[in-house]
Amino acid sequence: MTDLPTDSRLIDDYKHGFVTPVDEDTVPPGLNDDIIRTISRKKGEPDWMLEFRRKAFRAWQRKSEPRWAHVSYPPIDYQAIRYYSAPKSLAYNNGELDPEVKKTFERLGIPLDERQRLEGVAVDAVFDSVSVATTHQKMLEEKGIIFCSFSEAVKKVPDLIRQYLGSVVPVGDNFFAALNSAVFTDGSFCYIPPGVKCPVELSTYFRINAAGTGQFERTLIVADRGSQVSYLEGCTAPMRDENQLHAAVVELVALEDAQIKYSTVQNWYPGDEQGRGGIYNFVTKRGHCRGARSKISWTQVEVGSAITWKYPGCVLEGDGSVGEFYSVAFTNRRMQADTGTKMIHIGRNTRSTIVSKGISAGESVNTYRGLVSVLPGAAGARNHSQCDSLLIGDRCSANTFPVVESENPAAILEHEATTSRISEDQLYYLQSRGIDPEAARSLIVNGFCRDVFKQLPLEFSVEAVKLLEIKMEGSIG
Amino acid sequence: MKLETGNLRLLFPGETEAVHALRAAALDRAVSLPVPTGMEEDWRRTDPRRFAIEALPPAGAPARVTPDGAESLDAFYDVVVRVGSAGWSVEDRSGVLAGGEVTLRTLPEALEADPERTAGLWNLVPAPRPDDRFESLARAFHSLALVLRVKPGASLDRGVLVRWREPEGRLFAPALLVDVGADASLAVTEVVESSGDGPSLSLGLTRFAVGDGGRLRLAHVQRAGTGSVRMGFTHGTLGAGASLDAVTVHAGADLVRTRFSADAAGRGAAARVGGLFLASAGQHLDQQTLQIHSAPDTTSDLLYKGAVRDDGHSVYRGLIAASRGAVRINAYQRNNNMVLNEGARADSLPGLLIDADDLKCTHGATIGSIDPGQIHYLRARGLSEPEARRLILDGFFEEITSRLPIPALRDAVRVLLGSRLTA
Repeated sequence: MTDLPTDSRLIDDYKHGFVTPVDEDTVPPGLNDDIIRTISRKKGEPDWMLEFRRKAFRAWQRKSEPRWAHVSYPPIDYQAIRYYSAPKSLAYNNGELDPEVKKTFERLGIPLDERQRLEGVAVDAVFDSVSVATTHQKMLEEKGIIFCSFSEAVKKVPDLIRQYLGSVVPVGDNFFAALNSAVFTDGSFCYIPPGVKCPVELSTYFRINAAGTGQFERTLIVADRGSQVSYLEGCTAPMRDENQLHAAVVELVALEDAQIKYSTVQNWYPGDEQGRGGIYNFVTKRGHCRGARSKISWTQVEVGSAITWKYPGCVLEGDGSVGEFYSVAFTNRRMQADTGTKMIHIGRNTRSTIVSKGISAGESVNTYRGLVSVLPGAAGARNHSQCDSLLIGDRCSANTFPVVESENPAAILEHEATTSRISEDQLYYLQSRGIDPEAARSLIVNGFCRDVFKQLPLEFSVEAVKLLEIKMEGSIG
Repeated sequence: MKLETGNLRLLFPGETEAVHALRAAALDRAVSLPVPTGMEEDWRRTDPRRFAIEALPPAGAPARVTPDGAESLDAFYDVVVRVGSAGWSVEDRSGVLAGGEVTLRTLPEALEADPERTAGLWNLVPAPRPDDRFESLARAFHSLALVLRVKPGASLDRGVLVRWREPEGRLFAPALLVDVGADASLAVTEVVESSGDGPSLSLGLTRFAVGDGGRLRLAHVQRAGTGSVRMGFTHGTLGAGASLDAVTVHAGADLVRTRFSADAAGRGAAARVGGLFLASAGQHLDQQTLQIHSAPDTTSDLLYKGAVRDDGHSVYRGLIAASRGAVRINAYQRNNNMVLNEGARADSLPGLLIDADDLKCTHGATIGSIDPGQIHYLRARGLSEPEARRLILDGFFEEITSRLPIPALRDAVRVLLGSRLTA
């Protein structure tokens, strides 16, 4: 992979494609035991964390890269990737934020300065491998809420981390999760104490800046009994000719009566018209409804990445627990998305809802893949899945591969899927009322995604509609 | 038995060079394909090691004998073919074979009469899923292959019944090729039985081609013995304006894995596909369907309904594949499952693989059980609980049973399901 500088020849509608000129503290490319020790040392981790990483590394070595997804890409050289990259000045200025990094997040619309903060949103910003700022800490602390970077949490609340890290996504869960567990450099940790309703939206913003690196962050959210939290995640990266790997792990734990709402707007650089460059977004996200009547809700708007491979799921163990998955996946140009969800019903009277909307344009491939599984003890389990695909143009593909399985006679599962293009009648109707074809298409697509957008927190919802409009420009089929 | 070309001459002595060449080519293909291990996505729900091809000796080609042993259903067909361990026979009940409208030949005869067309149909494979080791083995070790041909424009009032009675302790590989001429019409019913409940392994191959404007009604009723392990591969193409109406019923056997596919390859072709299955104690049923649309303005409508009880396990895997250029198509796929008690299991994997844009493809899948409200309603009207459950299940199956081509066959299937449900 060659590292070409971002230049004016790559003019694109991807407005987050700039590079921030900061000195980065990195490790040499490659992955081995020494690199893992180096990462752990740089982060000043305790021995048990190093052991966790080394166990994951051994699991990763035994695994081969999954190739069952409906995507194609050249082999990835895992030894050519730098597994650690941090803005140097972070370390040098005693934690004071590098003005360049701060400017980056400002250009992205993520204010790190609490005086200008977005009302009601606390932000943890991750720049390449490390978390650079976490806002609102004081106010959250008063409520007993812990919201900080992962590295900080390892030092501050080691017992909580030891208890929950890897308890939802074990180190050897899959190839990319094992890789992440071995080399993850930062991420966010969040703990909501019993009975507390988090007063603000918590948010993490991920930014890949350095070239030749991957981003391997880890998010762990624990909602204790009767607590509630809403969490937002956003991502961008510079435009480059090379492909960069993003392999994250997100673990959610909901105890009795707790509720977690996790929303993502993923806008990693998708590559150019010819399919050069872009992020490989290979992510493992899983929630565990451990307690009775707990609820985990995933909402995702996927509009970026060259390749998306991600299946946020819920393990519904607590009786009466609820899992939800709302997704909009838009692919254009040569993008490939293989995404969906898994709902594992273990407890009695567990319920899950799946709403997936896929839109493919250009020469892209958009695949929904899902699993709904009802185990023998899940009496009274209920699932409804709705997967719709919209095709724009005749060179794209839309695929749906759901799996529905039941081992309980008192469970009811329903799955529906449709694939069609924008109806000529709808277009004609709107155009006859003076709306130009592009606006009409956009209006129809927005209507198509409405069920998902309305699940997003307000600020994200507005953003998502705008983002989809920008992404749709020029994709008239 | 070793999977070697040299063995073919020993197992099937005295065959024509043309047939031997087909066997040898199929065996070469089969051994070039990897042996499934169970780790493949396709094989994760059914253990491939249970299809122990090399464990049983292949049955040789049965001899032709005079017709004997008519059963009540036979009276409703023009032609009845019976294949069993004693030999195979043809009964031309209404004289259609003598009239020349319809021909029924063995593969060697058909290869001689019309080599290209016969070999083309024999080697036809569904494009999106072309390679299957077991399907190639079915070709290599076919015991008896029959070729049924209807002349263009001809039509049979009642149709052809083929009874396959598989022998115990053998690898039995029956094959049926159905060639329906342009604007012709034909109904074919296959009934599969075993001579007992001992171990047997069966690899069935069915191929059909329906000419422009032609019509084919296919029915396949499987009620094999409890020792039967079987695989079935059905595939065919539909010409412009042609139609297919197929119904498959699986009520027997120990382990079943089948694939049914139809390619709407001519403009305006229409396929209607129905399936009905019941998996009881120890049974494992794995069925795959493929609705291929390679031409514009084509339609397909698929409905598979099944019930699982005791520790039965059913797997349904469906796929709609629309190739580039297949515009203005309408494809529908539905799978409804009933899990009748704890311990039974139903898996449903419907799928859409779409490369065209101006179309409508829809699928739906449900897994549930008998609605307690419906039982309550019937009990309030004086039915016992078992009676109520039976009535509801009969209603559930009736949507498919009623699609079978002949009233007598529908009755036979109702009786068959009834006996399996009360067993």
